[in-house]
Amino acid sequence: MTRIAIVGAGLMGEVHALSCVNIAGVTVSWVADLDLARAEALATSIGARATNSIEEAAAADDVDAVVVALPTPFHRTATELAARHGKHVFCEKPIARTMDDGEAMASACTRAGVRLMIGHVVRFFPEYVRIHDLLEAGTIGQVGVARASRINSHPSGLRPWYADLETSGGLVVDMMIHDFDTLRWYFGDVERVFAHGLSYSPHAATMDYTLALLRFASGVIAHVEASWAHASFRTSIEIAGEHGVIRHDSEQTASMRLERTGPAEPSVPTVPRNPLDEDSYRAEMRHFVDRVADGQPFLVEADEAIRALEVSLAVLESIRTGRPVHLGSARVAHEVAS
Amino acid sequence: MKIGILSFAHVHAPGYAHCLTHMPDVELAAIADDDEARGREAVARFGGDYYRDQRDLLARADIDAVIVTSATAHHRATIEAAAAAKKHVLCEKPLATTYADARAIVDVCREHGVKLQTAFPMRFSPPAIALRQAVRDGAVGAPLAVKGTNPGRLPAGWFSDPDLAGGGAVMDHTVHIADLLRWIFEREIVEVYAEIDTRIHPNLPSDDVAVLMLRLEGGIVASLDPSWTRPTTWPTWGGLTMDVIGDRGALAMDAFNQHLEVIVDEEAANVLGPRNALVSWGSSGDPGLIRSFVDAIRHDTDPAISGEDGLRATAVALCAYESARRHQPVACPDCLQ
Repeated sequence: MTRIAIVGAGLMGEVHALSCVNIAGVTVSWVADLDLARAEALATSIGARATNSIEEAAAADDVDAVVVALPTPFHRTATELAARHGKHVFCEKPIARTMDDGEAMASACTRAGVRLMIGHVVRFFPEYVRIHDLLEAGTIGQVGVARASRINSHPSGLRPWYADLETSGGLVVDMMIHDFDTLRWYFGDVERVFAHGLSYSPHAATMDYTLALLRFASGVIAHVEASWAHASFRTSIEIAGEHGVIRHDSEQTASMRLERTGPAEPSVPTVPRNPLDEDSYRAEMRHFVDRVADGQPFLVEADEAIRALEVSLAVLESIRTGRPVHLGSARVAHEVAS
Repeated sequence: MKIGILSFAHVHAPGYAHCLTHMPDVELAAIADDDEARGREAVARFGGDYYRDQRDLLARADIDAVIVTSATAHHRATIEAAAAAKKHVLCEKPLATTYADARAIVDVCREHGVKLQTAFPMRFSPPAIALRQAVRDGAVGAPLAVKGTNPGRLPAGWFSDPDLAGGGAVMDHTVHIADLLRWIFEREIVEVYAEIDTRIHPNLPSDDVAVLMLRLEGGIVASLDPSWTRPTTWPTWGGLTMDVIGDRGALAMDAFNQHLEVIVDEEAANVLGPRNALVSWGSSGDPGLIRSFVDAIRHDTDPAISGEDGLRATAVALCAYESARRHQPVACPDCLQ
C-alpha cells in the first residue's frame, strides 16, 4: 500500500488525487492546502484528512510519498520538506522556475535517499508515446523537421501566479515546456534556440504567444508554437523524416464532441482528456508508484526536467535579447530578467 | 495581345500556358525552349510556334510580352535579352539566385521601360485575399505574430541543383510567404534567422529542411517553414498556411484546404496512382496572376506585383542562407550588399 499526501488542492492537486484513489494499492491519506476550505473540500470527496500545514502532511507517519501540486515557486520548499521527512516526491512540471531551484530539489532528494519524479505528463499521452515508439523503430528514418504546437486560452481566469512571468515563467516555462520535454525525449539534447514571442511585450498581461526554433545536437530542426492567444485547448505535432511523416492533431482525433445550446456558460480550465482504458494522468501516477516500489528509473527523472527547464529559460532569453542562445557549454542564465 | 513563354523548365509553365489559352484577346504566340523535346511537346499541347533559340522568339515584333519560366539562374540573361527586345516580362519566382542578379533584373527592365511582374500567384488565391482583408478589417485586432508554412514534395530536376536554383527548399518555398507577409502587413521584413540543413533526402546537393524566423518593421514577428518534407506518396503536392495572432484574436488560413478526400481500393490505385488523394475544389491564383499582368500592359499601369517585390522576397531567402552560415540573425537585405 502506497500512502500519498496531496500538497496543493488546485486543478492539478485534484487531478492527481482522483488518479490516486483509482489505482489499486494507493490511497490518499492527506490533502494539504494553505486554503483549508479548499483542502477540506477535496479531502472529504476522497476520504482523506485535510490540513493547511504542508509540513504536517509531509511529516505524517501515514504518508509514503508527497505529490507537490503547488504554484511553481513553492516546488522547491515543498520538495525539500518532503525529502527531509524521508518521503518520495512527485512534483508537477515545471520542476522549478530557476535552474538553481531545480538542481537544489534534485540534490535534496538524492541526499535524503528519496525518489523525485517530475510530472511531464505528455510522456504518458498514448499519441505521443506511439510517436516515440515509431521514431525508435526507425519508421520514418532520419528526422528532418519536427513541428509541435500547444495552444490554449489565456489563463487569466486562474489564480494570478500562473500567468505571471516572474512567478511561473509564463507560457514558455509552464506550458511550452511540455513540448520541449517531449522533443528532448525524441531527439536528445538541444544545442541552440532562437525565439520570437510576446512574454516581454506590453500584451503579456492578457495574452502570450511564442514561436521557437530549436536545433538539436543530433541535427534535427524543430519549430515549437505555444499560445495563450486562442480560445480553446489543442495540440498538434508533425515529424518529417527521410521516409515519411508522422502527424497528430488533437482537433482531428477527438473521439467525442459536445456542443451545447442555450446561453453560454463561463469556461472552467480543465486538463485534456480523450476516452482511453487508462487516462494519462492516472498512468503517470501509477508509473510513479510502481517505480518507487521496484526501484527502477522514472521515465522523467529530475535531470530530464531540469534540461527541459533549461530550454524554456533559453527560449525566454532569446525572446528577450533577440539573439540565438546556446545550451550546454555556455550555460543559460539561471535567472531570466523580465 | 501576343505572349511568348521562355522555357518550360519550371513546373509552373504549363499552368501559365493553360491560363493564356483560356483568355480572350490573348494569344500564346510562341514557346522557346533549348530542350527541344520539351518545347515541341509544349507547343503541341498549348499551340504557338516553337523556337529552340529564345533570341528568335524575342526578335518577333508582334510579341508584346514574355513569361520567363527558365531555371532561376538563367532569369537574368533571359530578362536582359527580353528587356532589350522591349518585351514586358512576367518572371517566375524567385527572381534570381543572387541579390546582384535580382537587382540587375529590376534595373534592366526599368532602363528599357518594360514592365516587370513577379509571379506570386498566392496574391490571387481567394483564401489569402480573405486573410488579408480580415486582418486589415481588424479581425484579430493589432497583428503581432504570424506562423507560416509552405511544405512540399521534393521537386524533380534542377530545383535541388544549387547552380541552377541558387539553393533548395529555402530558395523554392520562402518567397511565397515572404511576399504574403509584405503584402498583407505592408511592412518590410528586416531581420532573418534560419536553421537550414539537408536531412530528408540525404544525397541531395541542396538543402531540404529549414525554419526561418522573421522580424517585420514595426515589430510583427513570424516563422516560416519552407521544407520539402512531403514524401512522394503524400496525397497532395504540399500546402501553404498562415496563422495570424493579434491582440484581439487569432486567424488561421490554410490556402489549399479546399479539397475532397479520395481513397480508392488496390485495383483502382494501380490504374489511377495514389490510393489516398486530396483533390482540390479551390480556386487557383494563376488566372488572376496572368490577367493582372495582361491588364497592366493593356492599360499601361504598374504591375500589381513589382520587380521590387520579387527582389525583396528573394532577399529573405538569401538572408536565410546567410543567417544559417553565421548562426546569427541578419539584417535584411543589408547583409547581402
